[in-house]
Amino acid sequence: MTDTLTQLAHRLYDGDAQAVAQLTHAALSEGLTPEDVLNRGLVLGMQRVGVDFRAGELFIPEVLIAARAMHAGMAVLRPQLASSGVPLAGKVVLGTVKDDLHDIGKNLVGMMLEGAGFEVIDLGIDTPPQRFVEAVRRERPALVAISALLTTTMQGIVDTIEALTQAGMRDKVQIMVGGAPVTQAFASQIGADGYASDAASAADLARSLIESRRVMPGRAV
Amino acid sequence: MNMLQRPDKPDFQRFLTAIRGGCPDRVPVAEAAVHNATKAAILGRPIRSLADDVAFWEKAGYDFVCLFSGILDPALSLSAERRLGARDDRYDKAPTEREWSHKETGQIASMTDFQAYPWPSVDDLVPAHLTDVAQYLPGGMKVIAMTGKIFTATWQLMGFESFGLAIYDSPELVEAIFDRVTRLQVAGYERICDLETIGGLWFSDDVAHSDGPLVSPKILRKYLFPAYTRMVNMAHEAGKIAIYHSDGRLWRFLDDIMACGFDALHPIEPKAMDIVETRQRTQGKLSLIGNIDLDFPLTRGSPEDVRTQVRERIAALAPAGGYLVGSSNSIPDWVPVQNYVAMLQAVFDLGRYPIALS
Repeated sequence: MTDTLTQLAHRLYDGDAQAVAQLTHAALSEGLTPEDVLNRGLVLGMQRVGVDFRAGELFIPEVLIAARAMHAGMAVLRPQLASSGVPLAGKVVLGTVKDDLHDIGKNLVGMMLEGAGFEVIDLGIDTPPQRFVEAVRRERPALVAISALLTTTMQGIVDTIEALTQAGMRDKVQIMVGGAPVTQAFASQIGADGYASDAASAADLARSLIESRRVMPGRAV
Repeated sequence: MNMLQRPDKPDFQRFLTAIRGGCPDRVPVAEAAVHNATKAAILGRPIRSLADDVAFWEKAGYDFVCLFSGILDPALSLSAERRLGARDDRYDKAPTEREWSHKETGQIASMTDFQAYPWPSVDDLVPAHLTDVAQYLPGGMKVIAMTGKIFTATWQLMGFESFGLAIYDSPELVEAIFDRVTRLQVAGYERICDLETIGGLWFSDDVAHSDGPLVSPKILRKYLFPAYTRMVNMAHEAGKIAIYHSDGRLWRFLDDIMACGFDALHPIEPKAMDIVETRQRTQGKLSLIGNIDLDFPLTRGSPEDVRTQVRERIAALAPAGGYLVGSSNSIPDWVPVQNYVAMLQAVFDLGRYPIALS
């Protein structure tokens, strides 16, 4: 790996948005491909943030400043990625279910997914099932990520999955779920494809679900 | 609506004995908050007054009345009717819609905002119901004041994401808010500690999520735990007990919480912390309150499931003393009343000392 990419990953880990933007420019100027700058610089730095967040070495504020630095780098890189046709890791429709107003955890998941190279369509909080259905129809994502923070709104996850099924879209997307009261057992019980207990795990899960789709007949990414 | 009958009279000494690690006549029940609709179902009439509220706590088997004071949820206090300050309007103006703070609704983003913020007076933080309640309190009952928040109030004033970024971008602003909130809360505590009706303080301030701390322990050791130590000392000097509430996994803070001098820890979320391990780690230093799982069985289980879990907790924790049964958070309106009743009834039936459960 080049010195510039190494520096890029380090500065992103530190949350230095200004340095990340400068180093992204520098890496492109050195002739590195947008794909390398993304995956071996920005995404690598964010992966390290995720690892240390899960290990309890970093906390939410450190994830927030790293995500902000990631945005600064992507602002430089996005036009290059678009013009060179580099595929992102995948598209995710993300939202907190109806009647649930909590967004901190969902936002962290969105940041970690973007940090893993996904395009995130954030539907926000208090999202009715039909809004998920419309977003899936419009955006054609590979993944739908559904959050609920209250025991009473967990049913909203079930309702959303049911709405996607009724709309004939269930087999077109993979569904990952999370939130304080949600467990792996609940996720399995309601037929979700995956459960993540924290934002960093959600990014790992998204990657593994995408990978499983690549080898799953009949499910194109 | 229900047949709940407490088997004994209120006795704050029962509560105190368990909070201080001992074995009273029966395992006490303890809850930081119960939704008014649930209270009404238990009491058999709407909760329209402080007298109704007190009657609920007595009928449901508690030895105290839990009342709010101090700065609680500034981010939720945006309307003129719900200004920042004590939540003393909850009987006739309690919100029916669910609310929560959002990342972009912080009210302080700069030092200018900080200076202009309509900070409450100490009088605002010591609501009249803390003294008015004396006329309704049955013999044997005291008030536990659910005191205001420091960490939570600070981040809610900014919005969590803004707060998290400001730790790095504007540490002087973060420090100013922490300092202002702490000084207000301490001033309120001083007044509350002087009240005869108050038997203890319940400090509610979430610092963790299910997997660990919300922010670096360094932040909390700098701004939060020193303030708690001071306030717990004030409570103890006034002869009051001090309970600490935080959701989430607190392993990283357990030593800090014990060092603050708290008497008890609440609510010990099962998903975040195993209560038996918590007992092992805190033996002799903290009594434990709660841990009956709000998700399952309290919300999604049957009354039999609830009774089973209460039985397990009493068998595992009560014989050594220092355990009080309650939910792993609070009793919101989505907990079926029959499940809440099942929890209380199980304590009445199974929690008599000496504990005969294996």
